[in-house]
Parts: sequence; structure tokens; C-alpha cells
Amino acid sequence: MKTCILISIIAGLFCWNTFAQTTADDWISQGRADLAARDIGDASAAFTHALTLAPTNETANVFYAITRLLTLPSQPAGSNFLTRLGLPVAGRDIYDWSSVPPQDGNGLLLAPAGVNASEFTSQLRTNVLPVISGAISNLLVTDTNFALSLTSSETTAAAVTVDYGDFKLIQAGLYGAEYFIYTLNAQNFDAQLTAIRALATNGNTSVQEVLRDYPQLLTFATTNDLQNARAAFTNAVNTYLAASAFISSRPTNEVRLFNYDKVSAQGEANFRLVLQDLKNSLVAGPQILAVNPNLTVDLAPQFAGGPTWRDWLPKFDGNAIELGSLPDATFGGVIYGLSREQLESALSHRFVMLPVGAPPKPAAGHAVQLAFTTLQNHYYALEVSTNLMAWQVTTNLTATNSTTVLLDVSPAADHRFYRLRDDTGFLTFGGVVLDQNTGSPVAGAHVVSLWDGTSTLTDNNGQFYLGTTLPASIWYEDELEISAPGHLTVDHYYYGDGLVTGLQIYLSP
Amino acid sequence: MLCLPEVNAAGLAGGTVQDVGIAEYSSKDLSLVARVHASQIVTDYERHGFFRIGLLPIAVADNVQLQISSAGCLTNALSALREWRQPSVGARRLELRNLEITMVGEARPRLRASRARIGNDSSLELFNVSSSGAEGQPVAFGKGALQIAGSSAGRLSWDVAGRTEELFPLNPKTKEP
Repeated sequence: MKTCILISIIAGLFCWNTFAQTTADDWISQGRADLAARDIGDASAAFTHALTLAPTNETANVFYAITRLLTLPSQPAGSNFLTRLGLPVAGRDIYDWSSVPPQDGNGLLLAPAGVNASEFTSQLRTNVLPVISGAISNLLVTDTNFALSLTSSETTAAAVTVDYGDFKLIQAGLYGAEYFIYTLNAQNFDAQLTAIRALATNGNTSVQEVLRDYPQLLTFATTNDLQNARAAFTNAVNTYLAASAFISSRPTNEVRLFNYDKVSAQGEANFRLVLQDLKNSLVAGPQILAVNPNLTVDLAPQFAGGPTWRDWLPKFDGNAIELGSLPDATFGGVIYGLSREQLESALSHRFVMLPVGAPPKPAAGHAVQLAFTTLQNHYYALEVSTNLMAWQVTTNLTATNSTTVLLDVSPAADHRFYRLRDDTGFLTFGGVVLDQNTGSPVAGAHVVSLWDGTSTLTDNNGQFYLGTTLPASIWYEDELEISAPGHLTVDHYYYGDGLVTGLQIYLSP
Repeated sequence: MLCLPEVNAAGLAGGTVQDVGIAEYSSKDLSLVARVHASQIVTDYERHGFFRIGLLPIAVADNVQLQISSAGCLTNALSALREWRQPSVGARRLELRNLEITMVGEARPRLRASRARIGNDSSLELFNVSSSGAEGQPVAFGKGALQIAGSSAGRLSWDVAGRTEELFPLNPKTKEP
């Protein structure tokens, strides 16, 4: 009997905390105390109890929305996936996160073997999306006077009041996350993480090879979610616009979670205009962008299951992009007003853009006409060879158009090979070598970069063009040594941020 | 060294301290080592995206004039200013706006920045900076860093197209022959 009483007392003590909370407000208080104690799991459970008793309680709803999101990494599905990615279990404290995936010596993340990129989208779609959608429902605050004061213990930063506008803004962000996940899930990411990582390490794998090895990559995995993505986008825009209007109309002395910033006001106003144009295009067709009348947008095709992302890709040669191969500058009719040249220019900041030559044509006087796709303002060297082994620069130019036509007026051999080399972004020098006494050109002078060893010879007119391998983003000077039979060798420093032309170098006999 | 607050008509109103000045004198000859003046210190909030975040308050010193006898005095001068951020309860950082650094005895500032933040690595992160090179040529850039401690105190550095440029604008100027 004594044993039974003892067990009952112990059980009663364990259950006391549960039975003590009899109202939703009690559970909310308990949850907030748990939050202040940095116990997110118990806090979330307490807010769940509160919602069971009072499903429409706005305070319970918003607290539950926040805590259910914050507990995602500690839920079994989230935790297992983090483990699969190689994140150590230790350090997964939402308040003091120190768990990071393993990296190589250069700080680049290591890819876990056997993990497919499509697992990311699957994880997002299966486990993260339901929580986000649930949190959106919890944040459906309708009372514009609703405000919640959080203590510094609860936020672990400064105390702050969160009001209707703040919740709307959070909700807009969550709708945006929904849109993102639905859109990603529609795409096929069937590629091993190790293969994708190999691209970044600049090893043996190239973009061309990855696209070849994964023929379904970036095609549609499913089109079932596209209408959900469209709805989420519309909701995100509508909710953001409501949040922005509320926040910007607050009294200036009120401090809330998100506050109007007059410094960013113009940028934010433009952002709203773009969002409105995009949203309107879904129901009213193409819209001229108010912030840039040169561009017309129409987001509807994105949700219509038309061309895939893969269809938009240019042709890759290794990791370089072939100029002129971008198939559709409108990206399936989503944006009009961007030219292929503008897009290629933007891509050139990230990729090497390869000029592509059309078959040579005979021209008047035994000349050969050569046409290449080029990038405006890039500087090129035309090289010729008779054996594909030894190449010689015959001329250089700065492109003024997307196609450049050149003439080889004196093709000396019965066959010649041509290639156009893009020297843009490297220290490149051009000029003439002259005799100090006579001022006449010095042919066959040897011009060598003492910093990378590249060299060239002057032509019969004393002209030279030297494209070094020194990136202009790192180097801003080079030391050139110029020598010629019967002349004293000289060396000079030359400065520049790319192409340096018009050099006149005098050699003393 | 002696550190003396020079609070002229200082007022605490609504979390604002106005007209703050701190001066540091040499204990040897009472010559001026450094002087800091800010028109006010107020509470603001970190900006993320288009909004200021109420959860992340910062202390802001407006119109900061820093007068120093040498680059080595930067640390003490800025530390003194940090002591004046009491109104910004919970502020994690001090931000200086409209900063001018002048050498003692000179009228023209050697360096100006629209905004500056004290970083964790003994440096002052600067935005919209203007200064002058060794030959007096004007230098202006969007973002850079000024070392405020250690042997390289006074080193101003910034990135140009992936290259790091540097300058020592607070070094003594060589006299004209």
C-alpha cells in the first residue's frame, strides 16, 4: 500500500505541471517562461496546449508559429537530414548555433558522398513546407491593433513590440518561402552533390560534363506544384504590400520589430512597384515595368509549364559559354527588353565567354573573310596557325559589335587555322618598338613579360601585341623586357587595368 | 594621461545625449593628445533589407569630430566615446556618422566618412570615405577600414577591383624643403 501511495505521489508531481495549466493563458504564460529559459521545445508544446483550448487565440497562434519554425532543425526529419549532410549533432542549439558542415582547407564545403541534390527539394517539400504553411495559418492576425511585447529574455536580444504590420511582413516572407519551395520542387535537381561541388573546385568536372551526365537536370520534375507556386507568389505580394503600408503609416516614435527606414524608402517603393507589375501580369498579361519602361514582364509563362530552365541555358564548352548560344533572351516570354548582348555581358563577369567563328569565306583579292561572335568592348587577339600547335597573333582589336568581321588579306600558306583569343581581364600591352637614333621600326624585337614569361616578337612594322596571363583584377603593373639584335636591351614598368596600347619603346643601337 | 569629459550643456532627453566631448591630455606637459566631440548620441537600429530592426538597437554618435596628435591615439579616443553610449540600452554596437579625423594643430580633416563602425578586429569600418594620398591627391571610395590599434594603427585600406589599396593618411606630413 505504501508503495502505491508513493507511486501516486510521484506520478502526481510529474503531472502537476500539466494539470496546473488549466486555461490557454496559463499555457501561454508557461510557454513564454520556457522561451525565456531558452527551452524552445517545451515552449512550442505549451503553445500547442494553449491552441487546443483556444484555437483562435492570436497570441497563442503567433507564438506557436514562431516556435514551430524554430524547432524544425530539432525535429526527427530535420535533424536526420542535417546529420546526412554531415553537420555535427553537437552545436545545434538554435540560440548558439555552431554546427557547420565539414569544409576543405580552402573553406569550401565538403559534399557528402551519395547525397543527391534532389534530396534537398524533397526535404523542403515534404518536411519544411507543411510547417511553413502551418505557420502562415497561425499568423493570420486580423486585428490591426494586435501587438505583442516580447521581453529581452524571450528574444535573447532587445525587448521589442511586435504588431500587426510585423506579423504581416513575416507572413509575406513565409509565403515567399512557399513560392520558392514549390518552384524548386517543380525542377529536376537530379545530380550528386559531389559532382556539383567538383564544379566549384575547378577540378576535372565541367558544367558541360555535368549537363551531359545528368540529362534530366533542370527539366521539370513535376508541374503539379506550379499553380501552388503561383498562388503563393500572389499571396506573398499582397501580404507584403499590406505590411509595407501598415509599417510606413506608423507614428515615427513607435518602435516595432520592423521599422520604416527613410534611407531605404526609394528602394522599397521601387520594389513594391516591381511586385505590383509582376502580380498584375498574372491576370492582365505583359506589364511595362514602372521602374524601367524599357522592360516588360509577364510572369504567367513561368507557371504554365512551358520551357524548362534547361531550355534557357547557353551552350557550354567546358566551363566557358559560347557567345551567341543563349537560346532565349526572354526566358520563355517572362521578360522582354533585354538583349542577348546585355545578358552575355552580364554573364562575362562570371564565365569565360568564347568567341565562335563562322566558316571562313573567300573575299576579293585572295583574302579570307572571318566572322566571329564577340562581346562589345572586349579586346581580342586573332591568332593563326598552320599546324594547330604554333599560334601567332596577326592582329588585335576591341570589339564594337556582337559580331566582328576580319579579313586576312595575305594568307601565306595553302591552309591556315584561325582562332580569336579573348584577352579581356588580363594585362595586355600593345605598341611599337623604334630605333632610338633613326626612329625607324625594329622588326623581330623580343618583348617579354618578366612577371609571367609570356613573350612575342614585333612584326615588320615594329608593332607588338602581348597578352599576358596576369589578371588585371590582381595585377596593375608588369615589367617588360625588350631586346633586339644590335640594340641594347631595356626593361620598363608599365601600369594599367587591362589593355594598354600606344606604347612607344625606343632601343639604342 | 588624463581623460577629462567636456560635456557642454549635455542633456539626457528621450535616450539622447547631446554635445558630448572628451579630451585626453598628456600627463607630462598637459598637451592635448586627443579630443572627441559628437553633436549627439542617440539610439537607432540595424538596417536589414528595407527596414530598421527593433530587435537590434545600436548607439549612433552624430557629427563626430576626432582630433588626435598621432594615429596611436585612435584607440583611446574611440574607447572614450564608447563610454558614452549609456542611453542606448541593449545596443550591441556604436556607429559614428559624419566622422572627421583631424590632426591636432591642423584645420583641415585628414579623413572624412559618412558612417563608421567599430569592428571586432581593431579596425574602424568606414563608408563613403574621402581622404588624401601622400602627395595630397584626393582619394575617395565607398567602403574601407582604418586600423585603430597595434603597430599599423592609422592604416587606411580599401578594395579596388579585387586589389587592396592602402594609405597612411594620419602619418606626420613631411615639411616642404
